[in-house]
Amino acid sequence: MSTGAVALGAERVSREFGGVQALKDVSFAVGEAEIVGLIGPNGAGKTTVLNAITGVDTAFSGRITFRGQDVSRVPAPVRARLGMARTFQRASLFPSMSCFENVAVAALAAGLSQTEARRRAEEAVERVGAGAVAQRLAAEVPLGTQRLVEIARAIVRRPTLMVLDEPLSGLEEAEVERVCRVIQELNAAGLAFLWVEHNTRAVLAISHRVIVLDLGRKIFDGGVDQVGEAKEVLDAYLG
Amino acid sequence: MLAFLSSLFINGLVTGSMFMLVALGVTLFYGVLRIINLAHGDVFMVGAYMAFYAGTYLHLPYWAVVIVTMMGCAVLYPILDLLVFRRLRGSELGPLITSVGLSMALESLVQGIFTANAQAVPSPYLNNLVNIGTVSVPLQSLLMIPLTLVVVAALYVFLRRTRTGLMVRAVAMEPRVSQLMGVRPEYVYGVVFVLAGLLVGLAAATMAPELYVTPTMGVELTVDAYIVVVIGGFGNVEGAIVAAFILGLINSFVSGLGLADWATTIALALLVGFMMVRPSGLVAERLGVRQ
Amino acid sequence: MNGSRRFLASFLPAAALCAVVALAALLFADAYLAQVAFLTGITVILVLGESFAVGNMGQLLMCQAGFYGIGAYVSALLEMHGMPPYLAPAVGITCGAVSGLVVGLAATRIRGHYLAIVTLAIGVIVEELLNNLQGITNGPIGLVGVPTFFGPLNAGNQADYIVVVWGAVIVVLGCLALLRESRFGWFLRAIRDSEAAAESIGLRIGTYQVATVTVAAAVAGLAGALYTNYAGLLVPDLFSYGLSAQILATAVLGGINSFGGAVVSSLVFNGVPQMAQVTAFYQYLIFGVVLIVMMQFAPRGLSQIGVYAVSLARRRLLGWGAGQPNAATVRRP
Ligand SMILES: Nc1ncnc2c1ncn2[C@@H]1O[C@H](COP(=O)(O)OP(=O)(O)OP(=O)(O)O)[C@@H](O)[C@H]1O
Ligand SMILES: [Mg+2]
Repeated sequence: MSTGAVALGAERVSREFGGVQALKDVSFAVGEAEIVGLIGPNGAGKTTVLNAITGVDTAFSGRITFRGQDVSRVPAPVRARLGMARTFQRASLFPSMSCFENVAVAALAAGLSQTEARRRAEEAVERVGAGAVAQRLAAEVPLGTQRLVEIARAIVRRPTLMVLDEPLSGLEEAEVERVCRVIQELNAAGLAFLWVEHNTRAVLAISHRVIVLDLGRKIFDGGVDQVGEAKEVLDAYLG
Repeated sequence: MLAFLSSLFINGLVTGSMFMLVALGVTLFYGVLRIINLAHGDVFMVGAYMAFYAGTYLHLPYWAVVIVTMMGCAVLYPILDLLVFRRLRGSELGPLITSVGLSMALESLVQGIFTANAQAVPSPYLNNLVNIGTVSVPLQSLLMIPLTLVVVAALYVFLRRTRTGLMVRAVAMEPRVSQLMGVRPEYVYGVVFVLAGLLVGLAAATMAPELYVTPTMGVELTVDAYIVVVIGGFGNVEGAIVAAFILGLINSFVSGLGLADWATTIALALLVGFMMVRPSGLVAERLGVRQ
Repeated sequence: MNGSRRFLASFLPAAALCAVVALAALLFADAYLAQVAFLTGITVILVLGESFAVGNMGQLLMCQAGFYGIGAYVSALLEMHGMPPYLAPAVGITCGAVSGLVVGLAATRIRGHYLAIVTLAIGVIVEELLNNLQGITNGPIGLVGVPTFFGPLNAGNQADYIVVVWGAVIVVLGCLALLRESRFGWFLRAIRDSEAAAESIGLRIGTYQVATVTVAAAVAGLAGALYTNYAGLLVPDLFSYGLSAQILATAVLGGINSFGGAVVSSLVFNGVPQMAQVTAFYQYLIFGVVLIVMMQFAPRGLSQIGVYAVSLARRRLLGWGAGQPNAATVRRP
């Protein structure tokens, strides 16, 4: 549950791509230990927001703050070191490594010793339920499994904010439930989540709050129980 | 003094024209096929030998030498594409590596046929001095400028006004979408290789009489062409044109200061410096580099 | 991540092969073959550096000859001013590393295949500087009378030269194999596989690119110092773009990032032609043609052909095991 302290703040974030206004003055906050769902139709600007937050893109205007610090111009790897972790809409594992190695290399990158990295990687892989494929090459496992491994790779660093881009797409029903449960468990342990997902049922089921984007603007920000009644949201999805 | 400076200026324009013709090919390759071709200068070298052969052994008149060389390169390039690059479409590193092999192969083949000795390409306009104000310039040099202008204008019209040109630009901008709209990429790639061949052939035929023709002359030209393209912005035709003249003028003035030995070093240092400061080029951003 | 097993798997076969070659040269080489053995050892070192860089960055380094030249000239000049030859390897490594660091830093913001162009330019600059800085390098005439380790090559000292150079090859192999299985090596692989994902786990791409170029350059600098102390004579032409192209070609032909492949490829494409007294001209031609053909049909080089041959042999002879090489492992570079 939200404790009131702010983990992540976005203030008037705008981004233009050669004339296309992908984001216009988007502001919101994610509390520590909060799960925030970010939804919206295709092309609404969801991935663009996540890229601005994690530093994949630094050509936006506006401000991103992370645990009280302005990180707007801080490059992606440094933001990762500050405690952000993310997954990508197109699952991006390291294809020449095994699933286990994908996770272990992230643990090593967090500065852990070999043995500690191995132990934590095993734990993370088990946690997402990818233990059975741990030794297989990442490029060879099904897409759904790749997403699970990507989540394991993100959590192995023990981040304080997780940014997920459509983590459930391509997953089977059982895997969806597993990922939702993992999100809730980690959240209970104090980890904040900002996640983009088209599976609205899952978003509404486990998020504490929902933000809706449409055509680069924020059109809703509030509790999961109110989103279904908001007129703008209905218009955006239906009209 | 003024005469000296203006002759350096004209010289710079001539060199710039050559760089432009060579660099336009490189720009087309990157813009349309997304490949870096380090053998482009060696195709120039082969063109120079075609001109040498046509002029010295076949005794063709100079205008015919130019045509033969252009045609020769325009035929050679698609053949090389078929043999060397075609199977590697879609990869970036693959063609780059094979182009190094191609450069080695062309260089040694030419050396095998013509020996490593420097050759001179005959031209009737070499000793024909033209007076412009106080400066006298070989007609050969002056030929280069209008010819280049005409060719670049023709290329521009071709790319903007013809159906095929439109396809080339479509593939350059949106490879997937253009395929969906019925453009056959292989056809467009073929056109690009022919165009690059024509341009580099023209450069070879017009510049060769002023240069010593050797099998190893290609590397430096490849480097020059890439300096132009990097400074102009990868795949950016307008940028390449501006950059070619800048580089040509720098080259000419540096030589004029008696630093001919250092011309390449200075140009290359410029390239490296430019890459550090503005990796995306003078004019516009293309892919590959993060700002 | 089985670091030590992987280390042994990549180091032992290659090192054993080198040991066999060196032993054969010690036992059977006449004066000419001893020379070939020495020069091939130098080539192996250069190719290992290139192979390491290309394999780990997925980008071409086109100035190995430049780093090689810097190592050679600096150690030659210092020795001509009284430095004892046994310090040369350390000097070569240091000079190579420093110049690699400078080049790497100059190119930190450069991604993808631009690096090939920048390093190509830098290689040409080095060659021109060697020609033009006449007060220091003596220009195109070159440096003569540089001290050597054991004097001019002859029947009495050829064994010493062979031991030195092939010993260095094995040390370089060991260091690079260790590096590849270290944390550093894993991070390089991560970056090569996916830059965005690597950044998301906190890796700064620029830093690792600089480090990789530095390692490759240090290795080339070592080769330069060894060469100087054998040849006693340096001219700029030895360090031309053509050599960088050959080094790259040999590395690619061996199979990028395969140490065994790099050794075999250096032997096959450099050692054997020299043994057969193939002229430099034909060697260059063969390189070009073989490189083109190999890229068409086996882009992962000799190591790919080796893997394929082994699997074919298993299936034919033993009727088990190998299966199809799968698409993910036989990607085009
Ligand atoms: N690199 C880019 N260059 C140009 N336009 C871009 C770029 N990235 C995104 N856009 C544009 O910005 C808009 C928002 O894109 P974004 O990827 O953020 O949408 P999204 O909400 O994540 O959609 P989806 O649900 O399909 O993933 C789209 O119109 C898209 O075309
Ligand atoms: Mg998206």
